[in-house]
Amino acid sequence: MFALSEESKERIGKIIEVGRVAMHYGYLPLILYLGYSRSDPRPSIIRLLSPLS
Amino acid sequence: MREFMDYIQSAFYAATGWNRDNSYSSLNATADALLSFPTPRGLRITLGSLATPQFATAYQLGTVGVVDGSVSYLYSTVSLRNAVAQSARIPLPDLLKSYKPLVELPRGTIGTGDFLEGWDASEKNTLAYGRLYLPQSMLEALVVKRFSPTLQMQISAVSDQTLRNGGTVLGMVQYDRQRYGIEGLASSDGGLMGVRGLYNFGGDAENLKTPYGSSNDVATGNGIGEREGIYGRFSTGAELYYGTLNKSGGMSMGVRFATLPTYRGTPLTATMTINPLMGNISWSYAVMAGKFCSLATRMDFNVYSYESEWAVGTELWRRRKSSWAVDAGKESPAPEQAPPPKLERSFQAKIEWRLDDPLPAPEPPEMQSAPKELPQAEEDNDKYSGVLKARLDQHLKIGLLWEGRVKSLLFSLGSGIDLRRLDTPFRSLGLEVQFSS
Repeated sequence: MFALSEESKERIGKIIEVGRVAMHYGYLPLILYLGYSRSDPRPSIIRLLSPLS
Repeated sequence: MREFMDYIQSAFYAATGWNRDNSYSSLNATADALLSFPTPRGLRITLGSLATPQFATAYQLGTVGVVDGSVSYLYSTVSLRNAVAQSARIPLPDLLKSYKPLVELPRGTIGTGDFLEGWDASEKNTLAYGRLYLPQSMLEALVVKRFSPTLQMQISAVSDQTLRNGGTVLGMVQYDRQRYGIEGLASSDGGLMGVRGLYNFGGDAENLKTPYGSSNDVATGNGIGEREGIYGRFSTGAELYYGTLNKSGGMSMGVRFATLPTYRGTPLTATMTINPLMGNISWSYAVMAGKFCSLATRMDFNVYSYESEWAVGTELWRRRKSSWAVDAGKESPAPEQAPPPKLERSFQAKIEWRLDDPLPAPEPPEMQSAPKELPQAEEDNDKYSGVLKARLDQHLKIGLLWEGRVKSLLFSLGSGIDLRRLDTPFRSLGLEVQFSS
């Protein structure tokens, strides 16, 4: 196994953290976008978001 | 009560033809559902919707001292058009049923090549599900990807600032060949690696390569009833875990016997699981005592400490517009089914001046009707209006759960009672209400 330098470890850790935060806040909007753009027929936003509509 | 999104995920597996139960993790599903069902705490309201055939939404609001909630969305590449999502029409057994009868393994699909050739690459379906818990801001994510008729991958993750490293990721590869199913999994939590396997034998697992048309025994349901003895499937499996970071492992093995739907006697499920490292042995036995009543019992024993535990549980289904099932189950089939044939037979017997020799005939149709009617969602929907579940363990703790439907609202009312503390016996009380459209 090759040894990683401290700097590389720090950088990888930072990339993972940024990826996690991006997934944390971007995952639900991504699902919403997929549901909106790929559903056939395309629903209205209100219909997509509200169970009572 | 199963959550709305879990129900929709089941609809995805059904639409893609994936057998979720052919896994070692579901070996004890029936006993767990009857003996370890969770009772609700506080008030919880869920609003769900299958907004389009490929997209579902659910919002949940709960209060157990503090108000919390969750927002969840689900997207599927396959259309879930066949799923009944409206809470007014949703089949109650699909949502509430604890006793899970085995489903016959599809025959003639492995080895003949038809299934594999007919499978289109465009059917590499994907499901993406996300749930954000508020106000904790904890995200739960699940992605399921189907690669082939026999191969599927699942990645699930939890992201929460309070967890170490900000969360965990679990990846799982599932390989299902009907006769056997293997799962490999890896988790970022402790660098956990694991493998699970399940092998089926006996019963329908012996006839997997025979197409339905070639023999009519199972297809017509005639042959099975004439067989001597009980007809069911054995499943045996094991799981092995190893944490690469904390250098610790775990394992368990188990065996299950469960009757198949074509068996005309009382459906039963018996399991035995052994954890050799902890020295724990567990036996469970569950029967569907009638159309409206299931019973289960479980016994645990530890060979190192000689400690033992037991638990018993039951579920009683309520007929629509009728009294509780135990009474109704004994009496009501008789006036519905028995009188017309009895009248006809006795009349013919009188004419022909002979005894009623096909007298035992009415019994098989009654017994047969239970497994045949169960898969028919619409009939079940009409037949049941609710279920009462109860369990008792050796610590004299009782769990009670009453679930059903009022108009188009599904409700689940439950309580945990501790008989050893009679001054404050009610340890928990809760109500869940679910509406979906």
